[in-house]
Amino acid sequence: MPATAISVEGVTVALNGRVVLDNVSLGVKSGEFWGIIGPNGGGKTTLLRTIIGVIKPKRGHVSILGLSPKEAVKRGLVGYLPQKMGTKDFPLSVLDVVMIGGCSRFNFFKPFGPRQQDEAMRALEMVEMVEKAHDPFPNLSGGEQQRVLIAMALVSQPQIVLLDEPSTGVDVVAQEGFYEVMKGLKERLGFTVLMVTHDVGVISHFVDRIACLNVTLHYAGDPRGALDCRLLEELYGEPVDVFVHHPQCKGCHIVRDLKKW
Amino acid sequence: MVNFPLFMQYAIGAAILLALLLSLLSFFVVVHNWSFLGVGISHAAFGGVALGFLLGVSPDLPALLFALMAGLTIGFVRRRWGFHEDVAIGVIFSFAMGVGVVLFSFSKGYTSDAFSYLFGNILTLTKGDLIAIAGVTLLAYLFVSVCLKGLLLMALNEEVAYTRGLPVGFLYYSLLVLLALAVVLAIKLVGVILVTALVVVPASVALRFLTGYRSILLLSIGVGLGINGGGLAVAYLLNLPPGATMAITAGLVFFVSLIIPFPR
Ligand SMILES: Nc1ncnc2c1ncn2[C@@H]1O[C@H](COP(=O)(O)OP(=O)(O)OP(=O)(O)O)[C@@H](O)[C@H]1O
Ligand SMILES: [Mg+2]
Repeated sequence: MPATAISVEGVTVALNGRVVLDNVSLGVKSGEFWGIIGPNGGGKTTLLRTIIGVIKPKRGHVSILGLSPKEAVKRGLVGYLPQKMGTKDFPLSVLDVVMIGGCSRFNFFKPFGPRQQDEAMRALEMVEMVEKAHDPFPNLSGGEQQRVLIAMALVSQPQIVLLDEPSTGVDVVAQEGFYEVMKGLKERLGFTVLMVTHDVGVISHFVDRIACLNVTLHYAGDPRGALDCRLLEELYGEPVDVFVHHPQCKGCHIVRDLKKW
Repeated sequence: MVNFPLFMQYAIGAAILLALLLSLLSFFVVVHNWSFLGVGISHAAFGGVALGFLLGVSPDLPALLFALMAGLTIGFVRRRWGFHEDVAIGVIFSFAMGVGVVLFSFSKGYTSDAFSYLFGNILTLTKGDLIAIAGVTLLAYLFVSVCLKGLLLMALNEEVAYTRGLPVGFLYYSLLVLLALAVVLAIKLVGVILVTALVVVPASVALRFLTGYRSILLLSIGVGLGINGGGLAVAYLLNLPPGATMAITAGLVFFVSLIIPFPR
């Protein structure tokens, strides 16, 4: 029986007097890969920020591997990719950006050496950005930058990885590559991954569990169950047509895109 | 070897030390998009200068206190209410300048002194100033070499720096305090109005050509030394106001760097 990695118990969060999360409870076991879906403004980012302890819940309790968020973060257990990084112009090289992401309390005083460089290169390999390692970060395209930021969140190999819409701007092929990578990482290294995404159809093939969030938690469990039309209609407030995509199929995206026209 | 008069020796010492200090911090100013921080802090210091004149005491200490208050307030407004630093800078800049002008209006007859703080006056530099500048420079180099990684991650994204367990608040306020000290100490050399060039130009020039943070820091320091040394030399040879000459040099260096082909 794997230990609980992230436990969210009856969390209520109010921002500017408005309830954004209402009595949300979630138990993520060690080594599980979770997808969080829900409409814009549904509170997904708020949930992640509450888990890392940036937002204090009005009611309820969060723990990470049995520790308070603050303590877990201090011990370098958490890797986090925010939705809004606001770093498009950060003037260093790609490799530097990834290495900097590996900084923690434990290596704070140690200058970067060849080992950090290797680790950064390996992280860049995962997102297929090795060739651009020495390019200036601002010169990358939006999707390339996003891949580098994903590498940055993973470089320290944290046990708990929280990713807020990591695939924003990343092309479809790379997206699936990335989901594959995350799945592989959690299988090989036992990472626990919590990922916010809007990619409802695709994600169900990669994750172990899905949580559907719109202020309250509408569903948490097997990914198949989340594709139920009535649930999605309830979640998004109108009928949603999900095209379930099979990982082996490379042409589905095109079909899906064509269907819209 | 030319035998410089004492005030000139002080000026050379201050110019070199301030180049080392301001160009090091310049990098963080530029990566944080704090171009106007120097303006805000130096003008806040001017309020302190005016208070010193009114009370009939040396303006150095009140200027320092005003600068520190300004730096910390700018940081606090950002961290507590989420405004970009520029907002608080804009408010504090004119607020403190207003206070300064009102205070000066009570203490008639000091306008020429006000002038030397606004545009710098190397004749006002003392040995004590030089020691203070040297001390803060040492402190800044210690701080940056020990905390460089954390400072970079914080500049990249504060929330990520927090999730790596870094003391973001400490790093952030320390950086602001060092900047406040550096700017207020540079006022006698280049003046309230001109100091900002020395905070912004060195790293901006270095960033045009390099991407590794170590080489950027080194080039930035080199550019700063060139601006201060060159500016002071030209001022000495042509008998021009030193602060203004340095500011002009900084501007010229920046524009020349723009037309140099882009090897980055
Ligand atoms: N700092 C804040 N102050 C006040 N309200 C906020 C703040 N941050 C978020 N909110 C509000 O909380 C609600 C949830 O926001 P959140 O960012 O968690 O949504 P989300 O599910 O991540 O949406 P998206 O899919 O668009 O990223 C929104 O209505 C938003 O307006
Ligand atoms: Mg969000």
